[in-house]
Amino acid sequence: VAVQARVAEAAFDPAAELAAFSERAPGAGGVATFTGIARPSSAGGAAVERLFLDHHPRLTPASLEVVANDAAARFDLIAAQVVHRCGIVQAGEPIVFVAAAAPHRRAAFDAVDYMMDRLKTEAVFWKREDRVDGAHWIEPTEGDCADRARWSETCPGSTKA
Amino acid sequence: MKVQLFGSLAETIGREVELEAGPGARVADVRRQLSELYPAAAATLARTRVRACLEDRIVGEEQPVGDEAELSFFPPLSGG
Repeated sequence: VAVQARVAEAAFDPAAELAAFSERAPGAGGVATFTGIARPSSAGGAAVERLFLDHHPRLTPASLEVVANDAAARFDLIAAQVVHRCGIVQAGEPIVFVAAAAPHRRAAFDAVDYMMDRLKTEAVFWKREDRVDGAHWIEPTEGDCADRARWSETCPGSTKA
Repeated sequence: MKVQLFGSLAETIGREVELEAGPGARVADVRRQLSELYPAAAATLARTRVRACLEDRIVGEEQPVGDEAELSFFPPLSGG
């Protein structure tokens, strides 16, 4: 399985990622992708101008690789990819892109869903929302942990303070 | 010793600070020392969800840390 995981320091183009990914997945019967976009409003409704994603030089890329490799091991895939932004991300810009190519559609859909649920709680990033009412650091929600638990492995973010 | 901070802690304290760990120091001692030096970060550092990381592995509060060690503190992650 061709697995790629990358931390992107600048804006990326999901269409270009898909084109390049498809070339690495010869013989696929289907490609599923998900693009996460920096929302222009917070959970509470305040306008968000931009996000800042702090990251770790070694653990961040390693965390993306683990998720992509686990998807490749778990589902019947030909290729898997994760691209995740770091640094300043303007509202409306892509923040994450995941892709899975498989002989059949179900594995591709499931792998994309699985990678996103894992990334929400395990990708080594610290996200700050720069809102009109000030800057706020974001933590994983119970909903993120519940999504993660669908795949029946322990959620590292669920430990109560 | 070098202590690296991430997320909100990096904003309050800076990415890296140099501390004198002292003989027999453990993670909990470094956490306490940081809180005293940077009171603005004390509430965050006091949370059990803010984990310590030594040589790229999450470690417990009783982990000994020498002056050669490079210790990091990680607030809860938020990706995706």
